[in-house]
Amino acid sequence: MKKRSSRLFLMMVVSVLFLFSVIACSNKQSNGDKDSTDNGNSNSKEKVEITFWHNWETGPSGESIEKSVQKFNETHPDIVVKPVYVAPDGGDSVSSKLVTAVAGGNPPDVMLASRYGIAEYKEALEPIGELAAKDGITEDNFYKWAWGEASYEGELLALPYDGTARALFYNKEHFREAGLDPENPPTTIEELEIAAEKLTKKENGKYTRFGFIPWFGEGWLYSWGWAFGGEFVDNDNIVTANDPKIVDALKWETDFAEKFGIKDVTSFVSSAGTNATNPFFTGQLSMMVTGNWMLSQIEEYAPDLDYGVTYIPTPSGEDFNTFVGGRVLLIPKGVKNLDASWEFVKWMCATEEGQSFKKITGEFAAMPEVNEKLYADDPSQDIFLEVLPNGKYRPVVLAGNMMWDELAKAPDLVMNKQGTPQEILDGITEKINKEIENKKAQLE
Amino acid sequence: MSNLTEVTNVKAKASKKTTSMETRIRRAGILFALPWIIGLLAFYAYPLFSSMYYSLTNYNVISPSQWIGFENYITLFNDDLFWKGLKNTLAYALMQVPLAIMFGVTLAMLLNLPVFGQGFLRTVFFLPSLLPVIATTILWQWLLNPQFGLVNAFLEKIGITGPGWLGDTTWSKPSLVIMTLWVLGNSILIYLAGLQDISKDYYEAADIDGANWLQKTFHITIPLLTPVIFFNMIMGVIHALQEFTLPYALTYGTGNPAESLLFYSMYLYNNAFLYMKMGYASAMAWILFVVVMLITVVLLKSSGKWVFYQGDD
Repeated sequence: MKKRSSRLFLMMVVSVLFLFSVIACSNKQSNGDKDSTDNGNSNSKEKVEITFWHNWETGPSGESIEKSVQKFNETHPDIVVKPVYVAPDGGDSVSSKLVTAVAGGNPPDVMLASRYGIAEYKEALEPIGELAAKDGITEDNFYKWAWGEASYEGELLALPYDGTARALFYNKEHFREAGLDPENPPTTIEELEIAAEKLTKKENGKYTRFGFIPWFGEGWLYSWGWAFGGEFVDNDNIVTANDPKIVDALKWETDFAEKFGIKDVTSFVSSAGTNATNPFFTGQLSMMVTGNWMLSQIEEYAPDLDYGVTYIPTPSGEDFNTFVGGRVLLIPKGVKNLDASWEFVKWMCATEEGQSFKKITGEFAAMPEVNEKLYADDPSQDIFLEVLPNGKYRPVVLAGNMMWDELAKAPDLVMNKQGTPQEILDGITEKINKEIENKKAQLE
Repeated sequence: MSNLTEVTNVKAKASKKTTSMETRIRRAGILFALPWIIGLLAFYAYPLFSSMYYSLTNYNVISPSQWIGFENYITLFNDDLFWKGLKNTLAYALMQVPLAIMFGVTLAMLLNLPVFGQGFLRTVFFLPSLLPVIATTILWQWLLNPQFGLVNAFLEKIGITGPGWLGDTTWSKPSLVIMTLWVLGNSILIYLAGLQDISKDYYEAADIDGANWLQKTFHITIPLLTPVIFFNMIMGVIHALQEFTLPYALTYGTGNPAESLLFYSMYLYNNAFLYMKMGYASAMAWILFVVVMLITVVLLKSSGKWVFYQGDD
């Protein structure tokens, strides 16, 4: 008796599963049919509609997307780009959504993504190297940092769209107050330390103003590692985060904190506000390393701030460089209208018209000649434009996201006595290289 | 099931006319449950078993996965961050669960007192549970702000220099515990229901015997509340071991300061969605499942000694 009932149950389960698979199959079929007819129609008729995923909805960034798409749609009567906002899942990244969409067989046609880390999901991307070569788009059109960060081991993964650079911002009023020359900001690490000390104010045993905190804002270990002359990978693309110069940079950062009291410094950083309450705007911090997007924020939140922008100091006071990040426009694998997608990507990234919309956000185009025109009459961008050709980009490796996370944690680990700079960076180097090896073995 | 067999028996006899009312009801019942059965199979059973399979491969969602046996598990046992995440999570659970029970039971007993404005007070204590976790996070980030926060300002007034709270490795986890103790509304609600479930007879008998308030609390209320405490404890342990949103929103996934807020599920998430190591993350999920199971079994075994049900003997 019992056997029979369980058999009945099993049969039900099987039939349900069967039903499921039938529904799934028939769905796929009908979808496929529809698509093919759609394609046929669009070829014979006119308009192709493509979906464009981006993660900028509001503010100047949102405006730049909207206006770019509008212009493209006007100038390309046969293609309609439909921008779709996709919420980022962490920082600037929408990679997990892209990967899921590609795996599910329903990707967007074009996506705006952080350039950094795309190597890790390169199998979800349509290789566009040939398309670029066919249309005469080469690395000569772009900055080295743009093209380099968009390629993995010589293979172009996506077209670079823009760039963001970093520099030292300083409060001129505070400089005058502390007896420093506001037109002569520090250029060496030593001068920076002296200025920081003079600018720092303490009342009743409590800091009311900090001159400088190395890792505040955009003072990543990448920024300082490069300023100290270090390199994060060698010629064979092996990670060298324990480069002696990077160790020096980390040591300098943490020694700096020790001088002012680690607890005071860390509690200041952890309680610092953003936007209108940014300590640099409120006068609680006199100098900070930050990106060029801060120019428009200052205009918005602290228009009366008397400030200057200068190079990120280096130990020698020369060879200034900057950490450049930015985005690409990529084409996911399996898109239906590759030609239309490529047309849009090409227009956005490799034409003066498309790139000129970067002016709205105050960020940089990936093409040097466009920037020269865009910011010709904007002196506040001078320092950035000057160091931009010397911009450094994060190494394109298969464990870039992990490397970022690990390096971002490094100062914190050192300050909390989890190891010396050398030990921490040795550990990171070993870990990342091992991870890359594993991922490479998996690809083969 | 025995009814089901009856159905088959009836069918076997192939007497369609005798298809009883009951059989048709059975059939309708199954039909009505079918959406649920389908849902369960498609959205629970399938992902569950596929994650078990993927934990034995190096799956990254896009490229075809390769069978690597138990390599993920072996690598995990040599992964510092895995252990750190596990330790942080267990340490947090060890602090959070007992405190949550103590706080919850105390508050529930106070809110059960027939005082003026009882309903209002109950609402006030439940309200924080209605806030989205992210809002709670931001709110407490400001309250616990070492420099401008209300908590440290208050401590300073009574002569104590407040700690760095979320910026301090020793205080970061306790800070998190404090935040969660603020949103106990749901478990208080369950405790309240449990308190009202305790038969008045016991209290009347105790009154006649001349027991005081303290004796009644420790000899009647708490013992008879143990089934509810037990339920909340199990749920609390499971929640604490899966804690994700709060530390993730607080630290943007970094686990700062010095990885002291790197929780197990945060590291799992990073592996799955940031480092594209879905197989590795699946293995982590199964280990977490085993840990939760083990702890639950231990608690369940121990419950015989300290959980009392009304009207048992």
